[in-house]
Amino acid sequence: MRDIVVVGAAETKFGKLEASFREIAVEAATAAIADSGVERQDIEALYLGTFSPGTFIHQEHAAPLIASMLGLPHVPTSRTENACASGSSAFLQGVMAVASGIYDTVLVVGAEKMTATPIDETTQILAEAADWENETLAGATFPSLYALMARRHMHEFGTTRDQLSAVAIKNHCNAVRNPYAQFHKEITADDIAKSVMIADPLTLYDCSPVTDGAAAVVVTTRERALDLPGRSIKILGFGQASDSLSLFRRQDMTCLVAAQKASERAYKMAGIGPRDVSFAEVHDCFTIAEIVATEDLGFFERGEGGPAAASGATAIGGAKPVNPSGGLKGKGHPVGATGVSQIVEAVFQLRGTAGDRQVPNPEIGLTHNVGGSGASCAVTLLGKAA
Amino acid sequence: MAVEIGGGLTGYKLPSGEITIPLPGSSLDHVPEGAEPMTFAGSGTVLTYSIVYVPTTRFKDKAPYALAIVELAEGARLMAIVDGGTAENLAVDAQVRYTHRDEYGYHFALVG
Repeated sequence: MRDIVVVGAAETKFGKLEASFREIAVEAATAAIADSGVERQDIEALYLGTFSPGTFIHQEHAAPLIASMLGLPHVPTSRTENACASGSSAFLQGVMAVASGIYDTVLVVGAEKMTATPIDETTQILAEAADWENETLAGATFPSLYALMARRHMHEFGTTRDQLSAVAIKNHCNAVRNPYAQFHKEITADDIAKSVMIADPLTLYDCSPVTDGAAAVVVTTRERALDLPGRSIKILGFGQASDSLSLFRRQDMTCLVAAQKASERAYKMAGIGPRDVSFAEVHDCFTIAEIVATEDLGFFERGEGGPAAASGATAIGGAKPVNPSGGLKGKGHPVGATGVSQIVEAVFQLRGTAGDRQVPNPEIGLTHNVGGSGASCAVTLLGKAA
Repeated sequence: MAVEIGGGLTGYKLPSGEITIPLPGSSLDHVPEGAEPMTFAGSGTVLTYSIVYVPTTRFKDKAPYALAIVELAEGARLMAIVDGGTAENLAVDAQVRYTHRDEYGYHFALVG
């Protein structure tokens, strides 16, 4: 496989934005292209990750729309949809296209506009990424699916309310230091205990928010990047995997086998293991999801993710920093943008340009992006290009 | 959705071994080739549960309600509502029995 790098990376502010879907996608893409130094005529294809623009803002067929607004006439465009893993799926489509030699330089954009939709409709739209006949029509929502995992994790491993809260407190703390984040407010265990119950045992502060946002990266070959001003970050390995769409069909509801398989493939491709990872951006759509992720990725033993979160091991100054950006919980979760935004944060961290949230001297970053309750997952390993 | 209230709990086992319990009100006239129809006695165990306070639009008049993953005695699993279930009286491993089906899916009740 050719050596592949990310040479340009950018994102919009996350939150409730006035700008439209197309405007935020173009804003992020324009900034990523500028960051890379690539000329627009050298971009050979565009990959757009977005979950459900047709229901959120009544716009399907969005990839050529963004390409034409960017001034990339007639480039091949594709949109990927893999629920909350739509962005990472688009990214890996772009990486594999360049790795194959079909293209030398591609643009990957992730975007979602969610806040213009009433909250009960948003809950419904998101729930459509579950098994509609066997879960959603039976009363499941996404918070409740992760609540079912949390309850089982508590039962099997003794995971506690305080350990869930430690994830939310840490990620809000990190988000305060991230100018792109939706929330710039630290929270306490008392705030969490007093917040509204969404799906017992998960409260409002255990849940990632509804968010508008976009992120973009330029992917090219290491050889091509030598002529560009943008500081390139190498793709060391990646893996994707799937699982049953229905949570109840999985033998074990306290882990995501898709995440385990995806990370095994990524580690094998890179020739490294979990101990070599300097930091990770993981899919903390709910607090329990971060605890499960740190176990699935091999950072901690099964059942040790909760105690590790409570110990401070996953803080920016800890042994294994997790979600220095603030994660989905603190930075925000514009569904289709999230996977690309994780790549952007990894690039910032590895370049050493993450400002107040900079992890000390990182060598290797990992991104972990999950679709639905774990039916799809993509893991990417990135490192400084030699 | 027109659903027969009080209907039984039926499904089919695919050649792969996967057991499917179709939507309440579905007939078993279109089961995949090689599938084996099944009728379940209705007793089950709660594997995990949640009390849902913020539902989808379809369930907005139903909340809060107890959602559970139930494992039937025959080994099949399904997502279902446990009527009368609360954060105080539900527990992992609680025993439940099937009561009926309606537009909100399959319903169970705590045993004992």
